[in-house]
Amino acid sequence: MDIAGYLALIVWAVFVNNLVLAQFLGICPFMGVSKKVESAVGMSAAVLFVTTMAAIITFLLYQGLLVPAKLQYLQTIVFILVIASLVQFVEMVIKKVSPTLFAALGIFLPLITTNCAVLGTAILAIKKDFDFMQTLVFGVASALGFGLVLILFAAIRERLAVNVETPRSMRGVPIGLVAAGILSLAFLGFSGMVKL
Amino acid sequence: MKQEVRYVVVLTLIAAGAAALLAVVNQVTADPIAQARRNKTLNALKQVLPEFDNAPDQEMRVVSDVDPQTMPASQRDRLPVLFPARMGGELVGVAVRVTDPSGYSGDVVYMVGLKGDPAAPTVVAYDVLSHKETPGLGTKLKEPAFQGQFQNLAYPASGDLKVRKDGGTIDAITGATISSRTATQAVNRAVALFRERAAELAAAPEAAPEPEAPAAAPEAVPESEAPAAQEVDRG
Amino acid sequence: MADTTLSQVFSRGFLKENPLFVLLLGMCPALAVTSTVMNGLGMGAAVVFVLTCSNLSVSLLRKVIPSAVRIPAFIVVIASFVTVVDMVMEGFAPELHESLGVFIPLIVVNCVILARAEAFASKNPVLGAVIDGLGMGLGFTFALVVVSAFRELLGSGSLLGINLLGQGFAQSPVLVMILPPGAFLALGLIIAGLNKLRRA
Repeated sequence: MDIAGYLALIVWAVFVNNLVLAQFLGICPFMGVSKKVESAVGMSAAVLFVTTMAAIITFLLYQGLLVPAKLQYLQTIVFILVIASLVQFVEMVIKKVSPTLFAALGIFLPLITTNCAVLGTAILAIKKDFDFMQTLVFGVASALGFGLVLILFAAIRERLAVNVETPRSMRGVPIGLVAAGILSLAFLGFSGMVKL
Repeated sequence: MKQEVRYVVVLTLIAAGAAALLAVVNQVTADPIAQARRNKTLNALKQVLPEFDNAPDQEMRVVSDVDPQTMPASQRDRLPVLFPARMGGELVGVAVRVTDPSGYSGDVVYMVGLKGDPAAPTVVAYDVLSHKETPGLGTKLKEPAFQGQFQNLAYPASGDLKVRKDGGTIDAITGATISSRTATQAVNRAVALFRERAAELAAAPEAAPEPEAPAAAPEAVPESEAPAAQEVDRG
Repeated sequence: MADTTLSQVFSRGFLKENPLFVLLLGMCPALAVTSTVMNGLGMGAAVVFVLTCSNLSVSLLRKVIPSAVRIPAFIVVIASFVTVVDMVMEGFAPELHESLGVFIPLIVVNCVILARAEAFASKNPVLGAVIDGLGMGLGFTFALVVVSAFRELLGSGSLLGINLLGQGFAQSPVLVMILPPGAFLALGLIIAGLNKLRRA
């Protein structure tokens, strides 16, 4: 694949087929950690790291171990275990490096394990039959798309919380979902821009 | 220390139990899955071909200049495939699986059925095997309002099927001209391949075809069909 | 949970503790596969199966699994049942399998399932755990059906593929409802509506 191909892949993963807004992956952290821009940035960084690592490791395990042994049906189990261990590792690192960030991300770090964005990216890369470089680029770009939307959305919600008088039944998640719908509508404009 | 040993033992046992369960289920479901995949192709063939009594998917030929084995699977699956339909040994029609890359958001895969004289063929019908077009618009490719225009359509002598917007005869789906074009392009491509290979396909296959003999050896077949094609009794 | 009867365990998943509408768990599949009622039902059935089986196994193993390694153990159990569903569905309901796509393996990370294993099945006897799994699973299915009925009716003018709103509507429906934005809008509005009802 040439440079243009990789660029197309990046645009496709970040905008056209955005993890959150088009594929509905990673909705839980998207709703949970998007109340403050600061924690959204931290979460994005953690997801970027875990998604990229997970995509690479699962690719190697799948092509190097499961395919030769004809054990493709163990894919789901193997992938989720890889991700769970990775998350443990990232958690330990963040705890050591930045206790403030650790406190801010709180419960959501272990929840990356059950973040479908990570597993979804790994499975999609296998399904699309990407090679190693494509998997790497796809992992990074998907996570960047996730981070972009998460941070955008956190900024919207910060304003929503201060400036808008929301009806009581709409407060919290419902208005968040409606705002996400409008954001998704905007991203729909990217569809058809790049084909893959 | 004793604790850790227990952790490892328990986890290993659970993982072993899980692997055993999955191995069994995998065994049990392998045949139905292969059958389901084959049925998908067969159903499409039945829809787009005149009545036939052979197993076209067993005689299928992958169209490729290079050995398909050397390609990555994703490329291999997009190669056109010809399915000859016979009645009492006579070639009555050919279905062509064509992947058109110019859909609005990616590949649209068609099964196009053709019959008659390769010089002036008739389009029997087509079926959409998969697409990624906008939901609600892409699905209209399968609806009679659009698809009906292709049924029993004498392929134009001018040699090119087009939507009305491009100066042709096919009415495009409202709001989905790009998706509509993929259908005409797929039919054009199918007719071209039919013309190129009809003579070769018309030759009746050997009574007992050797697996390696035809242009498309079973290994050359896209992975999804391969297991099904081998265990089929010809009826 | 000694003071809750089994029927309460079963029924709370529908409204009082509905996993999707009240606990806000499992939103990814609820948004992704609810463009038709058929998909919603299919996903619901898969979740009921996985949730019940994993609750059963976790409850059976609850005295054997050391608490320090319980999460990985639960994940292995859940992932196995998900793979079973994946293979069975591919063999016997290939069309449904195709339209649910990647969201079948992703049942593994559906928070509902791990949450029930952790919060209920690992602390309760087998019968209760199975009933809890059934109840929560059916509650989740119910929620998926509500969301998908809303979307299919507006987005295609039909329910389970049967046209209800007439040909004119089906020709030009509110297409956005079966596109991604419609998923967010539908779920947001339904949850808000339920909030309103519960408060009244």
